[in-house]
Amino acid sequence: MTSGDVISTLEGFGWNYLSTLFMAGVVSYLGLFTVLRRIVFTGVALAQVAAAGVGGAFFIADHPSVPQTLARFAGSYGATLGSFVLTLIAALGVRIRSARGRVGGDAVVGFLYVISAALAVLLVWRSSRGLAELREILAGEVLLTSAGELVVLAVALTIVAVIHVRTRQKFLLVSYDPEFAKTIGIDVGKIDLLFLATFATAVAFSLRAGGLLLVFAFLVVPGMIGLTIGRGLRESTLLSVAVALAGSLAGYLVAIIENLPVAHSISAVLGFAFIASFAVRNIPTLAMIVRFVLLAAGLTAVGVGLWLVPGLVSTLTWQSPFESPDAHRGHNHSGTEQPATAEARIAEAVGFLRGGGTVEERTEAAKTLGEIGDQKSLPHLLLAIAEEDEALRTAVVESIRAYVARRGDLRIRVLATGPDAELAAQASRALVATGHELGMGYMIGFLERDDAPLLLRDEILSELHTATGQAFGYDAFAEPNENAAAIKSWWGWWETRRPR
Amino acid sequence: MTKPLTSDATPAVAFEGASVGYGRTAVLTDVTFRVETGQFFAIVGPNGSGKTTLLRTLLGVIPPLSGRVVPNGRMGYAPQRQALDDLFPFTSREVVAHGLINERSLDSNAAAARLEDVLDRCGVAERSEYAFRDLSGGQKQRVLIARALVTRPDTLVLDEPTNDLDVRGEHDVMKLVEELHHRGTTVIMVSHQLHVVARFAGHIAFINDGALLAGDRDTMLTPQRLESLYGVSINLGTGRPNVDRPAS
Repeated sequence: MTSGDVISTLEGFGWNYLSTLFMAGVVSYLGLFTVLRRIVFTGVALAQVAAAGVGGAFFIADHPSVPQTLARFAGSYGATLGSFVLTLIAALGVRIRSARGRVGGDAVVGFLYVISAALAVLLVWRSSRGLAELREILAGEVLLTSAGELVVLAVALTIVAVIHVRTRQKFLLVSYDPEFAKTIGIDVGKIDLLFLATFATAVAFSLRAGGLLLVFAFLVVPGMIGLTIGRGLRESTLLSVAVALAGSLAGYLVAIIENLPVAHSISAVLGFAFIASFAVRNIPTLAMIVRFVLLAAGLTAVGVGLWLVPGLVSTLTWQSPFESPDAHRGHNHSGTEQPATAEARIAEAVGFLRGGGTVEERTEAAKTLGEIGDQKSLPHLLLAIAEEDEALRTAVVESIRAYVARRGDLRIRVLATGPDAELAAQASRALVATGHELGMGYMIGFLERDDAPLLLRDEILSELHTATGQAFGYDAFAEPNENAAAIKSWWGWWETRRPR
Repeated sequence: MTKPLTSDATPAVAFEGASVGYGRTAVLTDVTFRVETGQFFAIVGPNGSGKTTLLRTLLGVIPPLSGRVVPNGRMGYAPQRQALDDLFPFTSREVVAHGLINERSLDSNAAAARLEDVLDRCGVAERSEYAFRDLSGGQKQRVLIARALVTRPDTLVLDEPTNDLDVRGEHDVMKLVEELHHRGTTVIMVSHQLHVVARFAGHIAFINDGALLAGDRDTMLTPQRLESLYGVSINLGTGRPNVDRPAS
């Protein structure tokens, strides 16, 4: 993989990368408090509670006895709202129970973890939707983020950040010496409540974008690194945030180059960064170098994010795979002029492939896109994977295979669970067509989606049936609730067949 | 067993028939005593007798279960240094500055001047950029006293300020407290170190078996009272029980 390939793949993850940076900045800052207050396990348990909140929202959205209005609301906003409310209640519960109870605070936290981990799965087990998303959250994968989701996440985390900037000293004193804080007139209960509310907000909103593992990682590891090599609280804070940002960039690069899951890569990078920091903590010169490198790397990560923004904004208009193919057609449709740049060649090929030419021209276009192997052409190739003409379909599959050989299948797997239902279906097909059995799991996940077009659902079902000989009574044209048992059977079957 | 101290002057703090404790459990009942302005007042008692509960009520951290606690003026509180978590990498200056967090009317120049003044008065200015956790016990205690003083208190409330300090640390801390008292600050100190109390406190409250008895030093520190309180004969010079030396 060339550096150009890496960069363009990172561009493909643009919205995810930006949302990860927001999470890294804010959650790692809060993580410093969790380490200082010795409430790391509380933080971990609260993230699990947030996952249970997501499960609760799916449960309400799908339960047949729930009024439709409420179900629709739960389906649209419930996951974030549910996880926020549940996390806040749990945080208050931990605080009150630890202060007054006969059972130790750690036991209460352990109880919370166990019950919410169980509920998160049980609540969606009978649901015809949500299980796939919850699986992703629990497995700790960075989910595909759209521009809209990034804006919501950014607004929520910015509010948290502003509150912390304004109230930082009080938060610190209440964490350090609440008794003294009371004697100088600070309402400790109110400040603690505000802290918990910001904590619940950050965890609840981050969970859906980053998954459990990444939220855990940002809550724990950057704070540890900051406190290990930072000199004083300010420097520790700065280093915590910087290492989280730098770890995000490094994690994405590792994931792209080695074709590994993003959240796990970031977490591993942060883990190694801690080991390195711990090793040099008592060697002043090396510690100083590490501090400098971390700060510079953190700034670089932000710089990369800012560099991606203009391109991402422009893709909001032109990169949509549903856009009119004519919009991408070059001036040299007749072929008398050669396109001057790869960008122009891609635009022209996309124009042909998406319906603007004969079958032969489209087949050539698919081959061209495969040769270039550009990130931006991938959605167009995926959407052409179900073409009826065999030569065209073969060219598309070969081009996707070439893309995978060059860049890995990470982007395709992310698209297979993304917000665009048609793209998700075709990405699943592409994985199967290029020999990745995991694609079948994504196809089952697609059957769960309530936004899946019925005909497409039927096509995917047919393909699954052909490949496995199973149907489990799934009806592509039935209401989502009516397929709950079939979906459960599909997942059960998948558990026994999935590649390990 | 309570005994009021009566005076016409405005007290620094007055307990009037107060019961103190947590939830519904009273640790001390019907507590009545006054700490007069300008006094050096010590609260003494065995471990678990309720000294800290009384102190927390005095500071307003917990409300009395019944009766009244009437403070006059601002209380400046210096807790036991061991109660603070060394994981927090605060410098001494940052710790002292915590006392100014709620001083909304103070501009940054005035706050800085006040900070420098108390750091200097408490003899910790040279160590102000050191990590608080790296200071000696005596230095930490003086930083905490500085944090209390930066709030410009009328009464300085100290919780076991000399606990576990070496001789030098104890001397430095108590010298500072004594200077502050001589300059007119009312001092209320919880301690179980009788030799410190005997040397510095003019008035003493003993807590034992859920009751409080208060009086001046000469009335309170009699050998008989100490023996009845602790069950052993106490040497006030050392604050420790008299022990018969084995024959050499």
